[in-house]
Amino acid sequence: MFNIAAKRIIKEIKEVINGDQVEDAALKLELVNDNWMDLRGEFKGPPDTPYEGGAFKLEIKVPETYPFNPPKVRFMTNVWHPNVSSVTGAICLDILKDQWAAALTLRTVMLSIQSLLAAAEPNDPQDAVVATQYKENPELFAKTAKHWTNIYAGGPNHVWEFNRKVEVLIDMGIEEHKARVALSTNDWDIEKATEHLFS
Amino acid sequence: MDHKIKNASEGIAPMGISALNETVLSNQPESRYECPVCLNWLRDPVITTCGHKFCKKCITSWNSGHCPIDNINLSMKVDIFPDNYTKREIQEQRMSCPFAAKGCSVKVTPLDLDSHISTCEYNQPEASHQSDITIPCSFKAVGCKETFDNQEDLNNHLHNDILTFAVAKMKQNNDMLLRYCMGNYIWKIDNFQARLDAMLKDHYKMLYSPGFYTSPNGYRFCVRLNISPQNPQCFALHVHLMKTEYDDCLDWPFNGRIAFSMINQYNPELTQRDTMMSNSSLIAFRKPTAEICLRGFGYTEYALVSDVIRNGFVKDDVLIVKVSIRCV
Repeated sequence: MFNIAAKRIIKEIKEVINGDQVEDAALKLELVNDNWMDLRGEFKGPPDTPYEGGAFKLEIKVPETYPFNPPKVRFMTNVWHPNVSSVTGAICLDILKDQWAAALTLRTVMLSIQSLLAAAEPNDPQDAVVATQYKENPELFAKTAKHWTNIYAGGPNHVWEFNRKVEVLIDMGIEEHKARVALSTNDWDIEKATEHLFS
Repeated sequence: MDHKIKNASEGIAPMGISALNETVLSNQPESRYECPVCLNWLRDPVITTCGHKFCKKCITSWNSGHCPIDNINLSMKVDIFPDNYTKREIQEQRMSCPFAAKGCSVKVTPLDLDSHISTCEYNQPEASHQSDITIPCSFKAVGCKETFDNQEDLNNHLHNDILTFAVAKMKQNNDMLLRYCMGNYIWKIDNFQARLDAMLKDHYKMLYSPGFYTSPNGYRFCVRLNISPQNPQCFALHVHLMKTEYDDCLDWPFNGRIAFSMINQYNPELTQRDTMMSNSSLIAFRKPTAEICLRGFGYTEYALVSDVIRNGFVKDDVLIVKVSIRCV
């Protein structure tokens, strides 16, 4: 009558809605249209990390062969993290690739991504620039991640110093997001960032 | 792409997910009878050497050489056995049809329930039994669109929902005030002492007023009050442009006169008045690119905190700042 994938997705949505984790991890999962292949997930940034207080949206594409193949998951919210591409939102996580197992569910996948934010794997990076900053200048990394959480994920912690630096580049006529990326990838050195943008 | 799989997914499209909902969720197995792959009742259960149960078909389709639960190596030939004990237990279960309330008395094994539901004679779309006579809400005249079948439902609605409606209506009125104030906005900051304490503790805390309009479809501004970053003895007071849906219809940069009055609530003669002209070369007056323009315009050292507290500007824990913005 229906294939396994569709049945599973319905049960999994219910599992997320009824799960104990709803309060703690604040998971959300919903269909984009009346179509089980296209979902949106959302979770709260883990506490005591630069992502705290942010709401992170995920695009989840379920293949017809689910659960025998993993769902395709990427961040729709811009995130500054060694294992997430700051450009495409692609996530480097073993269970989404070769370590996928049919008994994993969208709930466990979202919880794994949430814990990935709390415990980065800089030696298996998705974004090399972020990973380098994470290893060489952990304080600046944390501040940048907090700033991105504030700007893109609605986190409560402003980093005014970075807001001002972004404004300086905006004043030069650079688009806001571009300015933020250039500064973030150049350790917030305005001179280096402008050089990078205009070279 | 495997043809069988493709057909299956096309088959569900016309029915949509909501129809699927009811049948799938009415037939939820206990966890010990649930296959971790399809999340359904175990069909032809098998058990692995690592101690996990699956439908025979599910574990065969998985076929990765690893257990889907603990990733231990599994050989299809030697590590998987039929679990006839569980199979018998499931077959001994009987479930009522979800349409029992409509009169279906059929009881089947969990494995047969899905196929029964699809052929059950009681599985008919709900006949619409909407009553012809409906009672509108007593507050229809002010915009409540609810209708009710009987007086009791209406009474419940009046008790439970109408307060929410009234609050929403009031909020709407507030929004109207902001839109039709013609650039004259009176910002009453209540709980002022507590807010001030919070700002003194954390200089990055700032108070923002709601956005108000210079004309119904005009420029939208908000006011920001905070402790001056240059001089923590002083308040800074700025206006910020905010995005509106009709920004494209306005002239940019904004040109006009901005006047602040901080009201002295004990002696009106001591009310502090300041007027500034916009400066078209500043980012603050360009078309906003964010919900609130990052750049503001105003005074970084507007008034001494101690003056504001001691000299009659705060009364009943409320500070009042009047802002008047005119285009020129």
